Amino acid sequence: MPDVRVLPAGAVVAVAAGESLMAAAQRQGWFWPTVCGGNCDCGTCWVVVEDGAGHAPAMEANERATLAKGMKANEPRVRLACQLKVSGPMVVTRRSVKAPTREGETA
Amino acid sequence: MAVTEEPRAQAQQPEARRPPPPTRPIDPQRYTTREFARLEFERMWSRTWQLACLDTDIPEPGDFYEYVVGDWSIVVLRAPDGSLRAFHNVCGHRGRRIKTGCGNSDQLQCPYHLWSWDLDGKLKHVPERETYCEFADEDAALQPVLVDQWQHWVFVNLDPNAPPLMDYLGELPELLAPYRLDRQYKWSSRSTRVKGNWKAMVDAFNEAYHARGIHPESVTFINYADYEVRLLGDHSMMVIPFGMPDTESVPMVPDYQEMMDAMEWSFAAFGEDTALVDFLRMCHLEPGQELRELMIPLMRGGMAQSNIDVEALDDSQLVDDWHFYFFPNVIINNFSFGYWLFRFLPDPDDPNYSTCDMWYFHRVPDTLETLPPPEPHVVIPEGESCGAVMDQDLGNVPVQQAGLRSGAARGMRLSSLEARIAHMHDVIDRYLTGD
Repeated sequence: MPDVRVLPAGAVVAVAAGESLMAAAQRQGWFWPTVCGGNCDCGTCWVVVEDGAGHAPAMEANERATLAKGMKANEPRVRLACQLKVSGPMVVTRRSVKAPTREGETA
Repeated sequence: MAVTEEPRAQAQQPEARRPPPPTRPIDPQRYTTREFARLEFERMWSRTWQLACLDTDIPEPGDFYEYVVGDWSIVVLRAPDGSLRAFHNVCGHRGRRIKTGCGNSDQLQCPYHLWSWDLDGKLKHVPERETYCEFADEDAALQPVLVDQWQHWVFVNLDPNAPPLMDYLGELPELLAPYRLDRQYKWSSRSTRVKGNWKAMVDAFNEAYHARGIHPESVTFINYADYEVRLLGDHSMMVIPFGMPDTESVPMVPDYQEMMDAMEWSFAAFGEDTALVDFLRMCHLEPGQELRELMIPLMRGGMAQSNIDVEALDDSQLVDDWHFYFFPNVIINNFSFGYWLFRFLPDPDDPNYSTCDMWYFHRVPDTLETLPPPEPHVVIPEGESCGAVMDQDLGNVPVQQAGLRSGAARGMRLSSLEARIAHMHDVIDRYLTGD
């Protein structure tokens, strides 16, 4: 189960086989920005792949199309976390990934 | 696990002010059939006030502007006495359209056999007139069309018995008065053909409910939940709060830098100056503070520095999108710094197509006596980019139109957030049934 490190939060997300990075992060309690919930529709779950791009699957047409109409169009290192099923370790950046606050604690 | 950020506090929303949810589903065939389009032309387009051009498009005597809707072409012009005139752009001889597009001329001359008319529509010259049976000049005069003006907007109405324009506009002039549309000039003018019925285009702009799906970048700085909707006679409006995240889809305080990136991208996609974002990037949000609290003083200060008096605008009018619909086919996304006007024109032959005009305006400094001239119009080929955010809408509507055409589309079920769409259909029906 490869680990994906998410900067700058420092999240280390263990991604199961066949699981997307976003789904794995959510399962492990991290907040991940999304509007469509992981259907490759909104493009808001994007990440910048810093290292380990070779462990990402080739981009499929629907991911390409969603990226093309959003604010990360034409940025070569950007992938959608809801589509990112990794085969090995990776480092990505996404500032909006955050740990949710536990009840009774403050930021 | 590190605790880094608190969930968003539920924003204090004003009490929702919206009409009740519409009860009747909207028949998709209203968007797809030639029969319905024919009824619209015969009974609605023939009787409504329509924005034809700006007075600044035709400032000098002899300036003319052709407005085309359906099979009608109307030439709007500036007469020698400075008044506005409008005529059916149809030759009194053999019916050819006389003028195309815009320009300046001291007469209206048909290119076919060179008959000509004065700018007041009177027959001026018929080559070899002695070869005709005798006829009265009046019988070959250009046919006048009602024309009137509000602010810089020039309207025409094909119905000679139409109510006065100001009666038709109702509350809109008063609601828009603080924005000083008289002090705004058209800095961008474009149009493109869209594979979608004109009403599908109106609908795509007349609710903000679609924004999570179609403009998801903007959810960090625009609150699309629970927005205000008002029906205003034949027209309508909504207020979309800017400078705060969407309470439905953004459960955590957004990352400030990414929020700024999204805001900059969205405004740049309309060709807007993003200096405000540059200033906002130098700020930060305190816990519990909304972005709009930073925007309000920055915008007031920036406007004052630019010699633009916005004292008449309250904080919501300053920051939010006060969005107006002028029935049947004009929408403005209205901001304190300017407005984006969209005009949707039905294709004369095919209900599956329309033309989308995009006119963008900026408020000018109060110290500037004369508005700059409007920018020349640019036609963008169908399918080519009109700016990334517009492309999201223009790419969506043809896919909706395809579904509506399939015969499998159900009656459109509309929420109170979409009440303006139902209202538009009610108004259309009033025209179609003659009530």
